[in-house]
Amino acid sequence: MSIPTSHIPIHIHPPTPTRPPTVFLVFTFLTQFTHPLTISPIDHCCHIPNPLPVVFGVFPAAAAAVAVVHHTVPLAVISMRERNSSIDQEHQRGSSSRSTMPFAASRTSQQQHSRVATNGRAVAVCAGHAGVPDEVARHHEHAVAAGQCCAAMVQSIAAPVDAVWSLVRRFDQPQRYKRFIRSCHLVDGDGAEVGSVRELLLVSGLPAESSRERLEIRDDERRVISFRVLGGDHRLANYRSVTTVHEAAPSQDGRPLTMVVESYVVDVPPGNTVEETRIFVDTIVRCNLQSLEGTVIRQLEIAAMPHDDNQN
Amino acid sequence: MSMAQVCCDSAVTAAPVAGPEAEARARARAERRRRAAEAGRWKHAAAAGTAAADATRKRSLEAGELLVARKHGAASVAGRRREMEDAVSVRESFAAEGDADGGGRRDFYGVFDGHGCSHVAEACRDRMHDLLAEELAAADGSGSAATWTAAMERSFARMDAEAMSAGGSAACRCDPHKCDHVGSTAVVAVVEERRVVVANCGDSRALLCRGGGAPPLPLSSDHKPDRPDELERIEAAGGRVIFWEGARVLGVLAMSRAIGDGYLKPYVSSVPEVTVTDRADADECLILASDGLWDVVSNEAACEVARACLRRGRARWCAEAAALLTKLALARRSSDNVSVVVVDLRRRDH
Repeated sequence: MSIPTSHIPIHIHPPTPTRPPTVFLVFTFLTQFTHPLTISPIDHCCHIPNPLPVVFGVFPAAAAAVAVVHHTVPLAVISMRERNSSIDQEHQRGSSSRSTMPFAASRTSQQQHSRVATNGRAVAVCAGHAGVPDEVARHHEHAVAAGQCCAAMVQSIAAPVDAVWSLVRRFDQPQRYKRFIRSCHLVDGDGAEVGSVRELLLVSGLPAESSRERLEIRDDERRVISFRVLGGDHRLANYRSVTTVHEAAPSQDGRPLTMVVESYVVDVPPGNTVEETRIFVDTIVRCNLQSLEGTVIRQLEIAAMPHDDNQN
Repeated sequence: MSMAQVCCDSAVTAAPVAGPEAEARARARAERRRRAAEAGRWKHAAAAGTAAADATRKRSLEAGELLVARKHGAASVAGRRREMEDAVSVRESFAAEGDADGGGRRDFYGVFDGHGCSHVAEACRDRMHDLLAEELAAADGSGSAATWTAAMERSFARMDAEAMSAGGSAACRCDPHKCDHVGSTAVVAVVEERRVVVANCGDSRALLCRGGGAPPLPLSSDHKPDRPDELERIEAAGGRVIFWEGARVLGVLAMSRAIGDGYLKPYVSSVPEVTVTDRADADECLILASDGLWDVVSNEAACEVARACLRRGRARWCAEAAALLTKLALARRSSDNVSVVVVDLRRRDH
């Protein structure tokens, strides 16, 4: 079921943007819709063509957001301050109880992501990929406000779940598997406790230089890690990410298979569309998940070599 | 420019002689050290020796270096960026002499502007001329534009493959499995007796300065993602160009072609655009530079600076022009590394 695209513009009010929006010449062109990227076979996000003109400028594109909602639960639009409150986040997640939003039984398609409703109402949640264990699937239920977008990406890795989790869980050393990071320094906490804050310096060539991030969840038992972006030199305001790691059913040959799901929610920057924001973030996240796979596989290969003095 | 002046003066110093001359040389060396300390960013590459030595010596530049030679000069500086990721390659007589079409010896010049890390640009500096020499040796002897295009395209493809399979250098220690996000521009020029061949991939640029009041002649075209034909190619391949602090492929990379950047293929291509230009008597010089220069200095302004240095009549005017252009870019607050190569294209009898 889809909600018809509305022409009502969505007003986005990013809180204290790190950088004042640049004024561009305003011009109009027809967005050419293309199919999901050929390099993303594992991207299960739904996608709706939007043939309407898109205006680049200081103000967000009108009617650029499309809505596909499988289950809509009206939520009060939370204030900026409340949206940044972890207590309220817990409350929001709690409100999406199992009775309101049953998961496995109700879903027949893999398209399980909601977008911003064009009428300005916040829609309930964006859920991770089917197959995520119920006890951690709730972590992928993001409260998505007007002017935000969310998505989830899945990477399967032919490796034991503990080998994968040992890399994913390191809040203090994301560069061990993530790309684009030049250095990472803890500026608060020890990296293991919730509330730790890290400062990332990024490599050149990106439209970003640094990012300051707070550890929100780290659950070694359920293999869940989450961080929130507090600031930095980039355009991804209010970015929040959740990554879960779980065992998939073993393949035919019985070798271990691990599923990594990373979901995020973020403000759509002024001047860009939901689709553009998702393309940008998905490119970075996908690159990191593929790097995670390569890193784990290589670590296992090195560990399997007898008497290898060059390990790590 | 005092720096280039000191370099040029020292370059023409006679053979060492005991006595007053030695004393004068010692004072000149002390003066050079003082100026170098003042400049802060500059180090002196060895002054060029005889023409014969020029012909065989290979040179490369690193951050803050100035290369001085009779026929060319190069300057490179980190500028306001935190790290130096540009690389410059100057290889005189790098390949077997061409046949009748091109004539005489071939000199190789390259500017490589890295991003993500420096090791892809460094690999280009170290290997691109060798790969091209191999391709030229294997090519048919016709020396036609089509032959040059094919040789350049194969060299760039091989350089791209090498960059994506190798890991980082000893300096950066990048794991080869984590280098997908590193890449570099590449603008390469081969100067023959009768022609200049340029191959470009990315947003560095090659420019020909002709005298007699002629406007500067671009020998390359910048590969920006919103260039209409590049935009069309990217979208036909299933990619998107998103305006995210400038036009970027998938919102990430600000150029549409590069060596490396495996994670953005096939949208970011390593196929170069090749031009073959006949040399003319009015040609003054060739300028190769990274976008750290071109973002803040127009083609016309760059040619004016080079022409002004030429008119001063110094023997090492190319190095002077390269250093001055670099300083001009810094003065105009370029936010990037800056690398400049200037090649004297005047006929030998000048």
